[in-house]
Amino acid sequence: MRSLALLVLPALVALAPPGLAAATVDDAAQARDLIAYGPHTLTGRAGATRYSLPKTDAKGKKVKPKSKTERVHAENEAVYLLPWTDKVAAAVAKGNGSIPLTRAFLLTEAGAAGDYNARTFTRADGTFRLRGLKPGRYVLVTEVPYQAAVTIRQDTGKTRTETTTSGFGVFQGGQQIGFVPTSSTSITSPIYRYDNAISDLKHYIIKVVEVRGDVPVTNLGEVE
Amino acid sequence: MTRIVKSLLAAATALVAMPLGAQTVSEAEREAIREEIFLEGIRDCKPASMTRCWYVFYGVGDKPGRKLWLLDLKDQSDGKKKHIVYTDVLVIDESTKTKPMGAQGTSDFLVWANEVDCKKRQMRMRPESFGLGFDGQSGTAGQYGEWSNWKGVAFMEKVIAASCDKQVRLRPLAYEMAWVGDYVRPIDAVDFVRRYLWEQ
Repeated sequence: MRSLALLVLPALVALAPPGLAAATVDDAAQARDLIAYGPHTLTGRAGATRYSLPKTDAKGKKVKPKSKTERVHAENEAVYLLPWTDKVAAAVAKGNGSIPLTRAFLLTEAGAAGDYNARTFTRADGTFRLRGLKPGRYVLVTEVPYQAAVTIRQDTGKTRTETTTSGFGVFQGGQQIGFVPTSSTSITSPIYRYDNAISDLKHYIIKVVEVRGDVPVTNLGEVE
Repeated sequence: MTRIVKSLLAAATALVAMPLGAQTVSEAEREAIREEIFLEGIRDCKPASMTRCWYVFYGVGDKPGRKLWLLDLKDQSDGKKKHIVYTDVLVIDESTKTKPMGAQGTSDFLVWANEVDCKKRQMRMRPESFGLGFDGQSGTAGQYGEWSNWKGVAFMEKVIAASCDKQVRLRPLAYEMAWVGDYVRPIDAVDFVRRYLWEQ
């Protein structure tokens, strides 16, 4: 009888709707368990692509960049690896749908995974390595600060007024001898100045990654 | 006019009544309250949101054979027994050239999950204690160690002091402990030390 009960119990648990099982899982315990030590390593290189910055030669003369775009990499930036808890999975599903999956949104919705996660820093070339991971799914979060060539619109404080007058002409012998205005419209608009500048920007990376169980090191390569 | 004087008098009495009331608490009771507040605080390492709070507190050896001890000032126990504090100690060896201490040899890192009895000033290892070798082999202790007061072992005495002494916990920097970080996983703290302190 006892052995029968033992057989039936797991079967009943397996038949239970997934929502019921998920509701009983303690979020913090799940996050702690998922980031507990495992024998796998995750590597990669965090970066972003930007339009090439204008370059100058030794004499200060502008030189055309070799290519239109260039890669920039995260230097000494924190890399977080959030465990794939039920809350994180829900946040990612929600974020990919009606709400944009921003870092702030993810960290607000991630629950205990916001506290219990793996963390490292990128090296000068953007490469990173996280050891001691269990195989499975995670969310990688980092950022790439970079400079970009931008055009800034500045208000000069001056305005331009354009007046349009409509009316009818007075003709005599097929020749116009006068003009009678009927209405006049004036449009005043500000005058802007456009300057080229270098601006500090940030590229945020939020990526669902998989640590493979069949190899000791999972290399993500370039992460963008 | 009389009404104003009456109100002023009432206000003055109210102001005086509070310190007079406070004086009824004895010094022993005050100390008990302070102790209570401290014991609550012992579960914390500022800021309160941190899950770990690693401090480096001891080190020996020269490059490339250095050895460093870190302890987690964030109590990892459930806090049910107020005199019991769980203090994890992380021991990191720089390389296989690090001089072994005792029979333990060299390891990538060891996490001594300690249970400290602050009443008896004793400490023992918990079964969760974990180690990773340079060859990638890992293992957990699986059983409790013996209780000991570690008299004469300077770094172990420091762990007991950091776990139980109010002045050390509140001002770790004054007791030659330097903050490393709030890494949840000990292995991340290890990699931080290897990279930024040992430039590996």
